[in-house]
Amino acid sequence: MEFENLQAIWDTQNDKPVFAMQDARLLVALYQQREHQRRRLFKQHFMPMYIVAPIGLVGVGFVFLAFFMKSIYIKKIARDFPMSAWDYAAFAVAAGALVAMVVPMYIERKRHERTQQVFAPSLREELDRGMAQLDFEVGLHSTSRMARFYGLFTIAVVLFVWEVGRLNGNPTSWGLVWMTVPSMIAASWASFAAKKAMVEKLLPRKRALESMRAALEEDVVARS
Amino acid sequence: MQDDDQQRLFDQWLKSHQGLFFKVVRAYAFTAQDQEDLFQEISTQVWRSVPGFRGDAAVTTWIYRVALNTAIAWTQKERRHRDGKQSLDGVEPAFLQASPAADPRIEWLYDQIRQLNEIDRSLTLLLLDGFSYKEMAAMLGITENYVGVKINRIKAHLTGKSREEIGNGV
Repeated sequence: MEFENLQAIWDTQNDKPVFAMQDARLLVALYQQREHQRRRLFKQHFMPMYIVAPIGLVGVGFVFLAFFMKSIYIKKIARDFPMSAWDYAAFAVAAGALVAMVVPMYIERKRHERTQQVFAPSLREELDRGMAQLDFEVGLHSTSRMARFYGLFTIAVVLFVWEVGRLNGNPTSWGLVWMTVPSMIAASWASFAAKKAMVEKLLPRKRALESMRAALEEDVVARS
Repeated sequence: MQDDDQQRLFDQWLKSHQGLFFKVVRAYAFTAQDQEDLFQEISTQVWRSVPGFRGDAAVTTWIYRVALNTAIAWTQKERRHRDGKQSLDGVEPAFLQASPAADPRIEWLYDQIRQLNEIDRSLTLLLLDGFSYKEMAAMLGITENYVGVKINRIKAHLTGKSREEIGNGV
C-alpha cells in the first residue's frame, strides 16, 4: 500500500468522529464528583462551624453561670464585683453573635441540599446541579459573607475573653482583648488568602461544566 | 483578553477541532484513564494558550503545536507509555467510546503510530494531516532537513508494514 493510500484512510476520520461521548458514564462520573464535593464542603466548611459554635455557646453559658453564681451566692472576696447590666448585655451579644454566625449558614445549607441530594435524571440537569454546587461553594467564600462571619466571630471571642477577665476580678481586661484581636485578624487574613486560592481552583471546573452545558445546548439546536 | 472571550474562542476551537485532539490523544495515551488524563491536559493547555494566539499561524497549526508539545511532555512524565507496551485492545475509555463503524485500517494506523518514538509519532500525525516539512519543523523545533530524513524513514516503515500486513490479510 502506498503512503497516499494510508493518508486517504487517515482522512476518513475527518468525516466521522472517531470517539463519541458516553453520556451515561459521564453523568455518573459528574454525579460522583458532585457528591465528593458536597462531602468535602461539609467536612471542611460546615462541620467545624457546627462544632465551634455550640462549644462557644457552652463556654459563654458556663462563664455567665459562674459569674452569675458568684454575684449572688458566693461570698465575695475583696476584688470581686457583681455582674452589671453591661455584663448581661455582653453575654447576650456574644451568644447572639455565635448564633447569628451559624444559623443562617445552617438554613442556607439545608435549602441548598434539598436541590442537590437527588441523582439528576439527565446530563443537562446534572451539569446544572454541578454548576449550582460550585456557585454555592464560591458564594460561601464571598468577601461580604466572610467579613460578616469573622466580624461576628471576633465580637463573640472578644466579649467572651472580656467577661472571663471580669469573672476573674479584672474590671477592664484590655490586656486579654489586645491579645485576642491580633490573632483574630491573623486568622481572618489567612482565611481570605485561602479563599482566593480555593475560588481560583474551582473556576476551571466551572468553566468546564459551562462548556459541556453549552455544547449540549448546541447539539439540541443542531438536531432540531 | 477577557475571560469570556478566551472561553468563547476555546469552545469554538474545541468544537471545530475536536478530531485533532482525539488523534493526538489516541496516538500518545493507551489506556482509558490515560486518554482522559491526556485529553484534559491538552484541553487545559490549549485553553491557556488562547490569549497567546495572534493569528500568525492557522488555528489548526497552533492547536497541533500545543497538543503535540503537551502530549510529548506528558509522555515523558508518564514513562510507562514510552515504548507503547500497553495495548489499547479491549480497553474502552470511560467517557469516550469508539464509534461503531470505526475503520479497522485506522486502528491499524494508530497501532503503528503508537509503536514509534514521541517525535516520530508527532511527525507521522502531522504528515498524515498534510502539513509541510517547514510547518512540522517550526512546530516541533527541529530542522527541515531532519524532518525530511525522518519522514522518509517513517513513510518507508509504514508502507513496508502495510504491505506485510496486507499480505497477512489485514
